[in-house]
Amino acid sequence: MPLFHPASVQARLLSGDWTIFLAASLVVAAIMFALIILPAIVWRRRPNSGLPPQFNKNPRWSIVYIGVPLLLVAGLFVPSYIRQKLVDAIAPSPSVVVDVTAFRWSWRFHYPHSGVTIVGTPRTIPTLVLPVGETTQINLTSADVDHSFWVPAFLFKRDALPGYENHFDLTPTRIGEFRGVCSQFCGVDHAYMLFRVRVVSDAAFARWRNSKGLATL
Amino acid sequence: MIQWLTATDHKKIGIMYMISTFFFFVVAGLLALVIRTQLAAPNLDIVSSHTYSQVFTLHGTAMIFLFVAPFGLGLANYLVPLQIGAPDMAFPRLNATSLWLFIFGAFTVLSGALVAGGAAASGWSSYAPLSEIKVSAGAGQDLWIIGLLMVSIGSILTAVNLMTTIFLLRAPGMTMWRMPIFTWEIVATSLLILMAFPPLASVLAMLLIDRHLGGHFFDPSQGGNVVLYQHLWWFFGHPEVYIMILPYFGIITEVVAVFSRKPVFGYVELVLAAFAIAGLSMGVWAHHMFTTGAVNDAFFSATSFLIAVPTGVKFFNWIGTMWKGSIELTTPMLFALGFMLNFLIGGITGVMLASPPIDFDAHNSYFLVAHFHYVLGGGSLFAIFAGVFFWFPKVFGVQLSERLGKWFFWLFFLGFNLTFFPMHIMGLEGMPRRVVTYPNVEHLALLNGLATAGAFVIALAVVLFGFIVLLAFRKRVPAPDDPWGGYTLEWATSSPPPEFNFHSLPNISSERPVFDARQAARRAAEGVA
Amino acid sequence: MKTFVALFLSSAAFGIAIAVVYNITSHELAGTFLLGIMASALVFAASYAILAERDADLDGDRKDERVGEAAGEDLGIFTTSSVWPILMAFSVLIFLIGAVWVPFLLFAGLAAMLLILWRLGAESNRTGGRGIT
Repeated sequence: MPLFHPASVQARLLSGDWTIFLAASLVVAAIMFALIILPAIVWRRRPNSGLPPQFNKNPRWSIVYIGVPLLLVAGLFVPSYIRQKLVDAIAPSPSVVVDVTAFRWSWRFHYPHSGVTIVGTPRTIPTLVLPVGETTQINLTSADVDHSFWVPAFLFKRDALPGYENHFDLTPTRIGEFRGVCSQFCGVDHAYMLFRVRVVSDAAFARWRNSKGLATL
Repeated sequence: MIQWLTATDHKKIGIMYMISTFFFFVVAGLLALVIRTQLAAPNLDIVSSHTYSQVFTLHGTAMIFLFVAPFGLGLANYLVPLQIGAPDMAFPRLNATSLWLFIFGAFTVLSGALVAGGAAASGWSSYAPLSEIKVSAGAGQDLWIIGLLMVSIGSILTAVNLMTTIFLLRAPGMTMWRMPIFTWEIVATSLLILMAFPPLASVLAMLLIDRHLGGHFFDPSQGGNVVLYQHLWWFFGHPEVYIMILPYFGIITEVVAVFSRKPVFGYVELVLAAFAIAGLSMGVWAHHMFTTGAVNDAFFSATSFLIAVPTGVKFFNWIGTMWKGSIELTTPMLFALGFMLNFLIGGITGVMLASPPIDFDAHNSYFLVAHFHYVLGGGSLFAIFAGVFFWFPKVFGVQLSERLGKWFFWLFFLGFNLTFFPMHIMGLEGMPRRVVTYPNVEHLALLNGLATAGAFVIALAVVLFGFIVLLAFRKRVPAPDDPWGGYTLEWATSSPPPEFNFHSLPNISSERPVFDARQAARRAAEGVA
Repeated sequence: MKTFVALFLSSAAFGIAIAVVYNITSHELAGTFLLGIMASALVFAASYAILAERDADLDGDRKDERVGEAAGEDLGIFTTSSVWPILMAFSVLIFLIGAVWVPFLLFAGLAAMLLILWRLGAESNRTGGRGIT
């Protein structure tokens, strides 16, 4: 599961957020499950029982069950906000820049500083080549309808919108090949609008780039 | 028959709403079976991609617009005048107009399946530019727009009707703070409808103008803006999901109190929480847009986290109602407990999704599909069945089998969780939503297989439910005025109620007038003895 | 009735507050506009509520009201059936189909709606009712 194998610096931050929230969720769920199921068992109606005590409020407990959740969500907001800011940050001088254009139904990857352009089709899935340990800035847009660029291994997606250019950084930490999918419904071949992310060593990337994308990796 | 076409009595109108919405539930459910069959294994080819797009579009549209939301309004139509001791709604003919706008609108939406190019196929949220004329040229999309415009107008008129009725037609002694919680939730729901549906009507009209009248609202090549569509859609779309849960919170409150033999715990908190939720729900919409990069993620994350607090308060109020009570696990109560467990899961994943870092991975994946099915299916749908089993005897004058009802509950609870729990994991393993198929990677094949199996268990359960209803009409075991030991005024009249509802009303001095009357009668009888 | 006023007043206050906070934190036109219009609608409703509450004297608001005391009070006429609602809904459908495909139907639908509004009024006068609803 990508959650346990984050493949980029940003993904590690995002995975940390998942961990915090999953932990909090499990604790809350356990407590609430018990509170819901317990009464049904402990206070199951016994035959010929009369009316139970008819209390209908408890102001002291009110303070607890309003205050504690409030503090909990306020507390969760802080790490969430910090990580959001860090992940959204754009480095001033990235090592690589790729202009990504989504279209019905594949992707175009254009490396402006190297003159390499890769265009895919649903049958020939395009590969986005990235150097490990370096920051690549992606400039993302769409040529037609809304799409979304999602790499599960990076725990990250951003929408490709016509009339907009979205910018984000990817700093891969692992060499390997990762799946990419379109995650905004865009028509009949939406499910086939796939791409690959191939993370390679600096040397391999330099070779690949200098050969205008023709060198085999 | 003509009687029903010209009826203005809120009880007849309520019944027509509830029966027609159940018809659309079955339609939407069959569409779900098509989806799950196509996704049973990787790379299946059971339906074409274009057909599949229509199927999931109509599944979502029908479940949301033609079942969950209008069923709540239908139940409100039936119950609210009874619960406040009124003879009918404030505007009976307007009420009937709303009903027929809904029914004609619903069939218009579905009629797209019969035209060239098929039904609308751009998802229930119909994002532009995908839904624009250049990309989706068929009449199906236009019929979808027109149908929903009619449904919207009907909903707005119903909200006006309900609010007026509740404010003006309460029986003597039925002050606002003695009203049943269900009725209070309907006040909050009506307020939300009034705030949220006009933007829906606007965005639908704008889409229609773009499609046929030379508009360019959402076409960037002509100066339009695609994010604007999303703002308008979700400014409606988020309150819509609270419109689809508040009435059901009301059902759960009524059911839990009666079957715990306790008064509602935290009555004032429940009311204030409903309005806190309603208010905040107008300020969270762009949490559906975190991945656009075009909105203030922090603002919407904060409001979305906040809205969890009043929701949690309601949970504690229900728990407090059950606490040290005398709990009878009838079918309605089982569904109420199931609601609480399922909605808890859905609520927790909702808070997770409210964190943008989590949303960056989970948005538009099957994790999201799991979340909204847990709140709508595990939540609203379970509450619907709780309400059906609770009020069926009142509405139709005959009883449903408790024994079969319990079987139905367990089958449904099992099927529901088998279908939707695996979807959390599917999302985490990188499966996007609205896909006609998926590759055989990670555990997607196994998880999808489980989900499909669960879907057919649900289908079996629904067939059992149909049988339970038919059996009830066959055996016709008569229902007394008050089969459960209820608290609120609908239990003070016959099952079914007479025209104009009450031959006589008990005195109203608390939020439990029927309970009070029963206690007074008991004390009087003991006094005599 | 005071509850009704409190409800709309607090909703209006909340609407104004959230519109202002949103604008300050986000500077985003679409959302600010939507929240602003929403707040305006709520202010409008709150103003009406305050004015309406002054003359309000509902039986339902009296805490100590014994049902028997209000027995026989006239709540007005409630219709038992009418053919106009279903015809009105159908006219709206015709109107919308006309708006998209067949302009003649747009006018036919509109004419039908106006005709039905007239008949609703007549029906109400005949039965001693309160208007077209």
